[in-house]
Amino acid sequence: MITFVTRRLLWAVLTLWLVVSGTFLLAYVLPSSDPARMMAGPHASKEVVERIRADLYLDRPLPEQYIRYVSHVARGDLGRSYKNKEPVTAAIRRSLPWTALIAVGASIFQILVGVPIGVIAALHKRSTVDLGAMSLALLGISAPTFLTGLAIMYLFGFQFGWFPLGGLGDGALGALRSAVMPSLTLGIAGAAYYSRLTRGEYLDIAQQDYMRTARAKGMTERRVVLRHGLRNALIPVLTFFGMDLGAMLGGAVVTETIFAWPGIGKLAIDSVLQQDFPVMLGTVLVASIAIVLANLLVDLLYAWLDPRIRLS
Amino acid sequence: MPASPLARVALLGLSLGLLFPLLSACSPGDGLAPAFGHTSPVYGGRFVFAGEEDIRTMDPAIGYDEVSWTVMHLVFEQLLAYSDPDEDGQVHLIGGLAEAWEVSEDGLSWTFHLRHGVRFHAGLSKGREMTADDVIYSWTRLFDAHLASPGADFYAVIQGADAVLAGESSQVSGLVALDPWTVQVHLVRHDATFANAVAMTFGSVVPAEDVKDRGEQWSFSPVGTGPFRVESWDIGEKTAFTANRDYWQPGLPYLDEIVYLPNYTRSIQFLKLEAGELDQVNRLTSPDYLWVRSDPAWSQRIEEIASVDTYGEMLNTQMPPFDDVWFRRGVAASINRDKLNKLRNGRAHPTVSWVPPGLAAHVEWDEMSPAQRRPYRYQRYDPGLARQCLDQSRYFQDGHYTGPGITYWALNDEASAITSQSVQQDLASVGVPLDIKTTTFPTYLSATGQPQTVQMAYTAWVMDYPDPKNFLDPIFDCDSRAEQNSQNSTFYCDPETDRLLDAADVAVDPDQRTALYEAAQARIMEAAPVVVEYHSTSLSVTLPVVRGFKVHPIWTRDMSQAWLDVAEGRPSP
Amino acid sequence: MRVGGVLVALVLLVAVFGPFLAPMDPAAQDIAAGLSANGAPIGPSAAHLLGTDPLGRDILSRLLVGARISMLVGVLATTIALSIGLVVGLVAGYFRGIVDTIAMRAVDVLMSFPFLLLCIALVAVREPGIDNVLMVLGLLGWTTMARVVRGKVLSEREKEYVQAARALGLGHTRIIFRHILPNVVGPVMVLATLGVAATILAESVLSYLGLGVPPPTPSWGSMISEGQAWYRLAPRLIFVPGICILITVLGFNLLGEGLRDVLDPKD
Repeated sequence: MITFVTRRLLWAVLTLWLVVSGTFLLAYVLPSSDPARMMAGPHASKEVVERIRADLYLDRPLPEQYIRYVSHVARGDLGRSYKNKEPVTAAIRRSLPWTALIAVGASIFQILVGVPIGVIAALHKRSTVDLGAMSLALLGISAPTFLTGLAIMYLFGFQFGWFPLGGLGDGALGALRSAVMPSLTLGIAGAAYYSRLTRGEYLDIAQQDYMRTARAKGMTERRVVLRHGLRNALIPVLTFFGMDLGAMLGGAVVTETIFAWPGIGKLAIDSVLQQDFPVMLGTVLVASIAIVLANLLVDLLYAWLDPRIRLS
Repeated sequence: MPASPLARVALLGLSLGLLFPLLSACSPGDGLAPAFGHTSPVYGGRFVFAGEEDIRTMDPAIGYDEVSWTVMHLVFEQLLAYSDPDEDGQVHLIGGLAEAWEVSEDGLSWTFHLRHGVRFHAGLSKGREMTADDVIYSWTRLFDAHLASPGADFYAVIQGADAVLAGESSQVSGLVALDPWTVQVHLVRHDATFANAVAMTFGSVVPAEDVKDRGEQWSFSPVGTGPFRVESWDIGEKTAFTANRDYWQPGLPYLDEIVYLPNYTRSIQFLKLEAGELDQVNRLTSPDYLWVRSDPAWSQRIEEIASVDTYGEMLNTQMPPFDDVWFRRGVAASINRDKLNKLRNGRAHPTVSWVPPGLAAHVEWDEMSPAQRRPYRYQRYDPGLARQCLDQSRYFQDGHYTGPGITYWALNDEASAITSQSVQQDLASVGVPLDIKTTTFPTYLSATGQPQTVQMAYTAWVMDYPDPKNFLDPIFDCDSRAEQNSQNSTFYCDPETDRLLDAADVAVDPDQRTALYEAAQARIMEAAPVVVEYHSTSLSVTLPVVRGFKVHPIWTRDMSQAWLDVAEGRPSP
Repeated sequence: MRVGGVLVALVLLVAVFGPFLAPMDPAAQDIAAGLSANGAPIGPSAAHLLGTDPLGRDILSRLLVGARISMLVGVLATTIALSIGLVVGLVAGYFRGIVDTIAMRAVDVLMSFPFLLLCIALVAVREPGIDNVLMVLGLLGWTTMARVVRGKVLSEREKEYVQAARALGLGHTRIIFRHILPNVVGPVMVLATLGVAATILAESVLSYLGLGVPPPTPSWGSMISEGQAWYRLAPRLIFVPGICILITVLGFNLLGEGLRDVLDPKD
């Protein structure tokens, strides 16, 4: 088990290094444009741009810039934003909790709404309820995030006036209230997905022997469903929950842009569009760490559940 | 199967999802709550406004964009200031932190007499009084090569600036403190726009000990002498400014607090205004503008002034087919400016003059004599003239375009998308096909600054300071061309234009200076390295309770004398 | 499945014949009659069945032509992803060993990037345009496919018919493509159909951000982006293309689900 864990950890570190290098390539090698030009502003003279280039080390050879960046990252220093000179670690630290807040909100919504719908649909297999629930779910999966976001904001924010139109409210309660609409937007597609996943897994498991055994033993349907069916159906759901992080971050980019939500998705898209490369590299790195960690956890969970995996 | 317990769990989940809203209603339309009816300013209150981006920086030596300038105008002051706009929307230079100033006969020596009793906001400087040394420190800072201030360009005429920029000296020889209240500045040559440079935010006076000791942290909560001080800046969330109660102008400011909210699109800003969550907006989408104009209550809340800017297209004079002057003229005469105006709901004023109204050397077609009109005639929609010019160019044979494919660089925003597609259709109608390429702003900036890269692109120039020099020298001078990051993106270079611009630069007599700039502009318009299309409109919609707010051509929004006509105001202190 | 099939067939028909069905040139701006006096798009009329957009262009024509872009991007990018994923999966699963390790590690690394962000970044630093959108979505989207195919191949290669083919001394290429490939086609088709749905969604996000197909070519995502400010005065500018995206993606999802049920009957 220990060698397995060590091997997986080493591989995780290697993956992150490759991700950092790939993003570095993307930022500094592929584009033909010059971030110093962007930072100087459209009216700045070429002399000012040259001074900024020198100050940001952009005038050095690329390998030197790369080694400098990787060695700083290894020490936990992600540099400073080109745009406002804020340390990238500080920018991530301030925006990550906000994304976590709506991600948790979205997850609660996904599980609270998605899983029950899935179970109901499975229990009423091939009925109108099933068809209705699954059609609704498919619709939820098929709608682009920006469309649901705009609709939710217009309906609940403007027409009903229930929630502030984006941004953070004042204080903890204000922040919670403001988090409802982005959480909902982020969670709708997920809820739809979970309901389908739960339904599928549930139907799968319902045919398994232990369910039949439980029924044969005279357990009430309620106990069968709760004790055996749901618990076993949840394992793949939870697994998927871990792997879903990347998709969630993609959704966060769009959601946070629509709702002016100061999370990591907004930080990321702004840095991409304004060529604030240290911030862009930082956000990609953090997202990758989250994905890699989630996968690591899932692997370890599997290994713990199924000893055969460890040996392979 | 009977109704299972899980169905009930699910229902609970669903209803929880619906109940979760911590209901508190504010119905749309709260924004139009009536004013209280005070005739003299009421003290107190919070003014909230928003923008599409966050503030980039609050270091006055660095900030060079609209939002940064607007908020820095609250916090910092310069030796000279701009007046409130007069009836014609014009602003004039007036005393700021300097109560008086003199310029020597030859224009080389400027003496500023500082105001007494001006104090910095608390901070490491502990609210001490501003002196001549602070002015000299603040201006010297612009030449710190490591800081790379864009302001250095505007102050480069000061004697000894080069040496500091080159790292050969730490003191600018041309900046002298005659006594704690008098600063003398020596220039290497006459510069009619130096007073404008002094009034830019780059010239803000900041306390040395604060800037030096707090290093990189300084720009996040800087200290100045203005009517408001920075209370907090939560990046991506909000920035709060509170009243400076030790401000040197008696009785000001009226507001207790000003809050800036970043990252809201124009649509959402207007929705927030309607809900009473914002006090003012200054950018409206087309539909919101039409809505405001058609709504009896809102239409009284809108204020429009001509914006000091020019929109159009740049044509790269070194790249085919735009290396042929007749082709450029033909293209310029093909663009239907009235159509662009209609697409912008009447907010884009068609023009033939690159220098916008309100500045010397601006011209109006209707006010010119036939002789004066000649060079400008290509900058009007005239399909007949366009065909003539195009046929005369070497890229047309028998009425057909024979030149290379043309790619038009547009930005990924709504305004640019509309202009580019409108221009595409206009050129198609005279037989010139165009491919549109949409890019992000950084790519656009870098590409247009390189020779032999961009044939044609959407372009706009918004003023830094109200002088024709700002619209001509940086863009059309031969010296502004470069192999990289060229400001002259058309790569237009004409010795006669240069001669006129250089002569205007050193002309002491204002009338002669204006005449020289007029001559230079006429030459440029005739050569048509740019297609001149329209000047835009600055507008502002405020809530009924807002008083004393000004749409300002330089600062965009000026809240320094704003107050809120609300019931629970405080009496004046 | 039937519903999905019908929807997909419908959208495909529109994509193929849309440009011929379009009543007008989708790029033609009718400034005089297609816009109101103050420059607002006009509502549905006999001349413009679905009204005009903010540039005075016929929305119906733009929708019909826009179908082609959505389908082109969806199908082509998925084909690229499919081809790469299929080859990588087949080779990795069949040969195992070092090839397998390298391929699967590459998949791991690619999957560790936040996908949508990477797409946006790539398109933004290169330049927006249909070729780049296609390339980015295609070159980044093959990972799931490779994983699934590999898994399937791993189990297939141990089966008797493959062992028999080996024993007969058939070449690897022949075994892979003639014997194993037909057996992995099922899951591949399901994934591909679902992949088209996901790709159309991704394209709409890129277009929405102004990074998609350049104007004046209509794309449903960019139509929403250009019309979204008109939510109050002309909500059809958002809803009409929005519903088109929804129906298309729904169609592919339904079809994919249906295929899965047919190929892998569970319940």
